Amino acid sequence: MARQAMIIDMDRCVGCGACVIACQEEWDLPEGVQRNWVRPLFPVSDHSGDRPVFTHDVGLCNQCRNASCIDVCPTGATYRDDRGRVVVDNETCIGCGYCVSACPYGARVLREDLGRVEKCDFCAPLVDAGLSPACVAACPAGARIFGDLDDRISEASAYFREHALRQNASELVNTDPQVFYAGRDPVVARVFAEHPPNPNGLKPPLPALVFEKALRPAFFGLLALVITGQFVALGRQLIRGEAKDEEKPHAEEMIRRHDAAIIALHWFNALVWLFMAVTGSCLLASSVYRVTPEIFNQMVIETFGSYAALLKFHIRVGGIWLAVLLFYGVFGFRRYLVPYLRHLQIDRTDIAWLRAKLKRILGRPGVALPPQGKYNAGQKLCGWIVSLSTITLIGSGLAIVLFRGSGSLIQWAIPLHFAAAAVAVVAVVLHAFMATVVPSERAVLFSMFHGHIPARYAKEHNLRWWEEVRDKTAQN
Amino acid sequence: MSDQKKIQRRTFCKALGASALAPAVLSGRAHADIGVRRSVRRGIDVCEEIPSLCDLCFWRCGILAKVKQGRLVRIEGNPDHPRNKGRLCARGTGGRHLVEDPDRLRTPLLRTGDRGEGRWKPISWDQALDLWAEKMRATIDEHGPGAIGLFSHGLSSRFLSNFATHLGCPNNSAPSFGQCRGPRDVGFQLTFGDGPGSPARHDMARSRMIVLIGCHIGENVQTGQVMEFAEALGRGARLVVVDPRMSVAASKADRWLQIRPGTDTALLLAWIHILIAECLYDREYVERYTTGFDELREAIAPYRPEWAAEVTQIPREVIEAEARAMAERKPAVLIHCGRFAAWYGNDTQRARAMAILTALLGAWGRPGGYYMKSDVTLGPPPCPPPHEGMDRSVATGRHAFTHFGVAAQEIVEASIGRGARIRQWIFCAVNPAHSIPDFRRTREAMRSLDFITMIDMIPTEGALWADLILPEASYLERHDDVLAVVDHPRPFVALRQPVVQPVGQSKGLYWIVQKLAHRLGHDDCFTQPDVTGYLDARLAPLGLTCEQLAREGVHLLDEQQPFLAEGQDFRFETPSGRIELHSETMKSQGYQPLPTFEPVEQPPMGWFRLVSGRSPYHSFARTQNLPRLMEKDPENHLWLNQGVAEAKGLATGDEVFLQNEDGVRTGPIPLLVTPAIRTDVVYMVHGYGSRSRALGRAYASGVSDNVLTSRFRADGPTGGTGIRVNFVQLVTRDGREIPGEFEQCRLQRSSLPPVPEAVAPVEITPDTGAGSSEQKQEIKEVDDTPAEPPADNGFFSVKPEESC
Repeated sequence: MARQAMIIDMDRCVGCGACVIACQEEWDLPEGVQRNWVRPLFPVSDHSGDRPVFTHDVGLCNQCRNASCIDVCPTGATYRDDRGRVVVDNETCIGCGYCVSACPYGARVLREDLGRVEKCDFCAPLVDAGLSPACVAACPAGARIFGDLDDRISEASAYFREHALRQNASELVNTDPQVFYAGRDPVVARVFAEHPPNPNGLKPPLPALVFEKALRPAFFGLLALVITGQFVALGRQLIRGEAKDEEKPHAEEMIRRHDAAIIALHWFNALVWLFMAVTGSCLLASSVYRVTPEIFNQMVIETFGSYAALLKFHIRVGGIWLAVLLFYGVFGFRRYLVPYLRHLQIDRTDIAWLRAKLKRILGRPGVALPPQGKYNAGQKLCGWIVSLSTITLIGSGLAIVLFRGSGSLIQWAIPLHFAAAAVAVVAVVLHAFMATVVPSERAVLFSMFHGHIPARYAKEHNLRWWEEVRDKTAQN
Repeated sequence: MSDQKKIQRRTFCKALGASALAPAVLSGRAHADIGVRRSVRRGIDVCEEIPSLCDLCFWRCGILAKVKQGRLVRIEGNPDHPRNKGRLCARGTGGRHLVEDPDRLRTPLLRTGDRGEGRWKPISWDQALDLWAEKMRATIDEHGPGAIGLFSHGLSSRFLSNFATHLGCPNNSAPSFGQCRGPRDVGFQLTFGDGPGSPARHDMARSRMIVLIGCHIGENVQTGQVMEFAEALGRGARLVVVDPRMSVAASKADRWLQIRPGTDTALLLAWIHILIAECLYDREYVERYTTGFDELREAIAPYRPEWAAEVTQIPREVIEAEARAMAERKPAVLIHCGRFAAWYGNDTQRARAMAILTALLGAWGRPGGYYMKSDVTLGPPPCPPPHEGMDRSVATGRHAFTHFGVAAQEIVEASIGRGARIRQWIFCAVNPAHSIPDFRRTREAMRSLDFITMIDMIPTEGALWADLILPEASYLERHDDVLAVVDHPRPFVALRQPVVQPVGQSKGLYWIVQKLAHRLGHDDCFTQPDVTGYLDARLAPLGLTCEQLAREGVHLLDEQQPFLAEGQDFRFETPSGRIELHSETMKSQGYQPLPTFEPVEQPPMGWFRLVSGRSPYHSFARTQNLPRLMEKDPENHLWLNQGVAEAKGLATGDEVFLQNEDGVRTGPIPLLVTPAIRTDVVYMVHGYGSRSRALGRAYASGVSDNVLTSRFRADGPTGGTGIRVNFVQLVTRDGREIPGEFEQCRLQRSSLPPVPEAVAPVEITPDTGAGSSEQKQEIKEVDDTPAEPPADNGFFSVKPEESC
């Protein structure tokens, strides 16, 4: 692995700014966006009696070996390449700006025009084509020496061996910068004093911290709790013998529970959830946010070809999902949306049911459950959670994809997107577990295929709905 | 590998991302395949590369213009060009945006409002040229060719100045001479028979000691000069910087001599004194090549280091130590001749002192000092010499060595009033508001002229006053005359050629002047149908064609003799054939044959000498409309001594107004408070403060030093306008002085000791020149109490006979 580095000789540098303009021109940067900088440090008195110094704050990305910007990147767009450079993949950068706050040197800028971050990468495309970085090629003073420190015969490594070089690091902040400064002590000291690494730069921004320190552990905890709970409940049913598959009379009376469009939507949703959960978790590339094993992520990414392709798919499927939901909401407003919302209404019996259910879970199986409508309170709760999550996911997803600019909107959209997904995933896992593993709920599962449910089951579990249906049939 | 690298650097063309700078996509290509080195395909990118020359400063670096589908996408340095070897400064790289500047002049314009108002209407080239020719003919017929005044600058303006000469008009004032390097060139030419060249023939990279006098390399950037400067420092050269302000160079110096402004000649004379008195000069060199050493030795005797110490306020030990340091390192000592030299009106004599010091160190024609000029023979210029001689009626005869026709102030003075001798002006790439001092007189002249024509790329202040504006294609869109470089160890020729289509209807100057000449019936001028034909004829003696040079960009010629060989006899181009330490030529024209120190007025308490300098992002007042450069350095600051600022209750960032002795007030300008400037000086960067509303970015950004330069002191021999003679006060918006001073202010303004008169100067009254000499009387003399007379009548500290 190569170790590309730059040495800036402040005794040679005259602060002419050729490097800055060359960089802006090479990368066609708009006004106000710079990958490197030269700011005059005019001679001022430090009251030490020493002769003042007129030099320049000259800098660029330090390509730190312990870079604080890499881990904070949720998508892994920032990474260290095989030549030791810290680079950004423009296709996968979502412009959240976590890395901008996480750089102690202010070396990263958010490109509001493109919705991505801009930084120096030692002109990687030029260097890989055998050229010098633009700033090095332009520098009239020859103050910049660039090369591979691992290559013993490079000019940079010779310079590195022969000169006393310093890194702009402090006791508080030492990210092992790979930009080294040469020059007289008072000059280099002035440069460092005017541009000290900012200790706050090591800390990720608050939304990223909330993500890493609160949401991610909370998700694992919740998931573990729910899965354990389910197995405990199942075990209890098995022990008590409640889990026996009920005998099915051959010609049982069935009543219609779902129509075809709802069944289609249900399974479409199920697929989307599965796809989005898998791709979404694989998009969390950084180790501080990762929720699925890296090997699994790699497998998925390889299936899609690349991370960028995966991201593209994730965004596209989200778009399709939004379109389908809108289609149902608009064209099925009366037929589907209004009844759905009505079914989700929570009434007094739901509270009573929840209370009774809680008592049963806590070990009093004898407690009777009050009669329920088409859906019981547990299902309603699940419906609420999934519906709100869906809205949050789509909203925050749109914000991440569409919003270009700095600020807290996109920074908070990321943990929000994750939190919504985490809650929904837990709810869906619970839902799927109950439908597939708990034998007594099989009838519900089958109803999602053919749309009908045994009247006997409905009478037992959804008495009020059963009565409703019976009355309606009677009227007809 | 390195060759391959070079080629790749040239051919690399990036994919263009989205740009916030809405690009004006130019249709088609600049011209047929001329100049295009190669087309390169990288992915979907096709990029052409055209070698040309930068025009953002006099260094004229080689550039490679990268053009994609007719649009200029990048300018890089040309590795083949010996002056910049592939490197390029901020301005050269950022100059690309000149093509896309929305404020560029696109069509000929005719004034519709009053002069100075800036209201025009577009007209066609035919109308414009007919009008111009008609006005020219009328003026010449009625008043003769001497009634035309021309202000010109740059390589392309040679077409116009050559035609003016052909017409018999000598009134060609180049600010590059009279407002810049004229005194320096003349001072060196009188001494060595040859000026220092442009760029000066400094062999800086090999210098063992560099002495910069008021020269701020670093803030003042020419790519090649910075390259050599850094190389010399890297090799451990000793650097001495003489400057009242700590420049970037001074900060790097082994010794920073914070000199009292206006006393540089005293320091130089003291150094000459020490070299002779301590017998530290290069005796063999002086004996072999110079004349007038005895006169020099006699005349220099009074200028003792202790006297210079009092004058310059540099400790005597320091002066002596640096003279000895020079002697130790001779001949590889570069007494850098600077460039802008029109400071105090005694500038030719200062340049002479520098030249003499250089000669005593044996550094002229020696590695590490100055190298010798080469010769390049080109074909004839576009116009033959005048048929009937020159009309010299405007020259006052005050200045014997005004190389380029007539001094600017003479043209201005001859243009004011009804019966003025000069009736018509032409500005060619010159902005009078920022280059000629005392703009009030210039304005008065412009009010009374019959006709003013302005040729430029952008509507500067000069355009506001012009009757007719002709849009010139930028240096990226036109051919210029061949650049024949003789001031380089290896002579070469290089070509400036269009890399993109000219903006709007703008034209190159060859075309413009050709059309004018033919309308005036001068068919013996500009006989080639177009500029490339002319360039072919120009290059013919070298066996080159325009097409070939267009492709090569730079063509190196055979090396001649950059340095004097050991013990070689050499005939210099002076009348005596030797280096003239004592100049009979000066004497014969009525000037002191040996440099003398003339004290300049010191600012009274509460007043500051106004000194200006450069920013690495700007060239004069020409680059303030370029986005990349203006973004980096959008305004200038006023450097003010920290003690003075504290006494006045001011701090960095506070805004003040400036008012000069003539009541000219300008501002506000933010302060930069520093201990690293003397208490009697304030400093700002030149070129800001444009008053032309037609320049979107430049208008009203920063403050113009030239507005405050209402006085000047003309240099006798050259007529150069010494512009560091203005004093300013710091005032509030309504003109009240901001009070406050402290002890050091009085100390640093202490009166100068009298000039020692051990040896009576030659009975010549030195010409102090024209200009605003009457106005100068109004300044109160601060130094009315003479200091102690010199202790003895000034003999050498050590008798020369004893030591040598």
